[in-house]
Amino acid sequence: MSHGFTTVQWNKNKKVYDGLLWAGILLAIIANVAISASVVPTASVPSMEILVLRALGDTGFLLLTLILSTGPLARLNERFLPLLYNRRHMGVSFFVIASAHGLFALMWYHGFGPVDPLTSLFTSQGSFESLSEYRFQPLGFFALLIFFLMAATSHDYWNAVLGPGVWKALHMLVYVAYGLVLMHMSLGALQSTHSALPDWAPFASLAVVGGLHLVSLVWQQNQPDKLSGGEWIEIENPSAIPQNGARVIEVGGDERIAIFRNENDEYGAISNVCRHQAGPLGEGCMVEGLVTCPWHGFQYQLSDGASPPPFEEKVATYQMKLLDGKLVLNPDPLPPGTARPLVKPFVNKE
Amino acid sequence: MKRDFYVGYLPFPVGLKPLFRLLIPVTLLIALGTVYLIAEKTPAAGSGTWALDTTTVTGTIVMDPYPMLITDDRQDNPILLVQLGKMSAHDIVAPYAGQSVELTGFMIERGPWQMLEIESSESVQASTADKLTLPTASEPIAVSLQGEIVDSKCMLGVMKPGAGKVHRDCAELCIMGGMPPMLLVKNADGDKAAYLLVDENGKAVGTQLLPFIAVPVRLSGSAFRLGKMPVIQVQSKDVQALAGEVLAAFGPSIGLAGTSSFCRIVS
Repeated sequence: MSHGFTTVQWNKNKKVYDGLLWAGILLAIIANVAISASVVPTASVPSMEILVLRALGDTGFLLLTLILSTGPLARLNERFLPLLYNRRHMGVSFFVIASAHGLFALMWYHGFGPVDPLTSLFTSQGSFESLSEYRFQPLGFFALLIFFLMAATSHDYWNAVLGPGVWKALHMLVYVAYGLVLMHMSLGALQSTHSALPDWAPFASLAVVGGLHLVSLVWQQNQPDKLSGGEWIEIENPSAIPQNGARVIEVGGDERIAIFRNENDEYGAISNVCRHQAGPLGEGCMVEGLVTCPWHGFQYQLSDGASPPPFEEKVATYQMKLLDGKLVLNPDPLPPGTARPLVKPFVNKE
Repeated sequence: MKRDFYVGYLPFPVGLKPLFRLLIPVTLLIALGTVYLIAEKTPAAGSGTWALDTTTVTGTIVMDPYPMLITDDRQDNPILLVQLGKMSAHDIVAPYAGQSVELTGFMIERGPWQMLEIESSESVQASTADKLTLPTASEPIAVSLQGEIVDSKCMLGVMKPGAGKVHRDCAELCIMGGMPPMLLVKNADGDKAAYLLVDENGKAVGTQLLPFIAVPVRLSGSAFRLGKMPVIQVQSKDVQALAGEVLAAFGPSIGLAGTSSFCRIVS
């Protein structure tokens, strides 16, 4: 967590994840080149550099689709959380593939000429007004620029320096970059009869990514109990909250609170937003007595919303009490890390 | 019921293992299936070749309309000369204009077209061989063709494919660098033929055709034959971009039948 930074905090799960990821990436690139080279007569096989350029583009696009799908998939079913845990490595791997595609394209199509490659990229013929003559390569360049910013700031160090809000906003630019990639493909290779890229590729990707995000969004909207009231709000049927689990409620329109029940059937409320990457704490669970974020395992004490020493993250806490035998919550947040009593409304005899 | 909650730095939950033993191969199969669906549609990229080994050729340097070498066995079908990269060989061979030389370079070949890529002035050696001259041009006829303007170096074998929208910027740089532009047309059978493009005075066409590169065009001009080499004299005002109507696919050429004697299939 925030107690010092290392380049990569390796563990067995990350090593297995990266090993499988790169085995898949290399297999996809090699298979793409081999199949492409075998389906046309030997004399008419495209140049090796073009085959590699295409294979990098195809593989990068598949990887981007997978990366953008893991978030909503893990929200919809926590069994997919292992895909999300090391997603930043998948993102940086994607950036390596996309950069290689970009550099190959810049070198082969814009290099070795009378104008330097970057000048050529931005001054070549075509227009931004005609779809058929659209200059699609600058679209890829700007997408790559966003991916670079994301890859360069993917480390937790930058999350701490920029703050979770700015960091999150920066990384939400991935959707802008994804849009640029879809345009780059649709206005480039898809318009060329010399390309193998099928018309359905961007639409299939958009259907998967867009569909999963839409379902996840609807699920998230319906998930929390939307509560309102005066100073104290009743939490109905608290016994339905599982031990070591939580219920997320929404108050004041957009503020989400996670009400956890620990192993001793004590209840405590903390902010639903993890300080690391704004993960949904209420979708996590309590591991060894600590609230554990489902995204990257950041932990907080239910008693005061603070991470256990030596870590320093703190989230807001909320007061709860019993009022006429009912469990109630004060929706006004206490400063992050503020201790307040946990509440035990009944004795679970199960 | 115990929850199979995954925390990255803790041991992988036993309850999730069956799912991931299935999910990993299925994801890989979907990825490879998608790769197959894309890659198996790879179109043929033309029969051009670009030799990896050097060749030495003896002949006479001609500078107009483009740097060419006339050889004994290709007196009626000169070899186009270019430099490494996207640059004309003009500056290298100009001092030897009209003289016999030995040129060493990498041969680029597609159909009946030949091109030699030379590296530097060290690729040229003066020769005592007999001087040869270009064949006389045939009587020009008016033609109107539909096709795509490409740079000759990439189209003849350096880039495969060396045409189409993705290749447009490369073709533009090549032509800016002095590569001879060509008009690529298809006949009704889908065969492709290439014509060397020159200006209205029969000289290098320069950069006037840049706005029309790699898009479908209708081109009107005077076609003639220089030996076996088909050439079209054209001005930019007689080129009409068809982009927006037929996108990057160019249709059967118009009037190709009338120029069949010029037609040189390249793929």
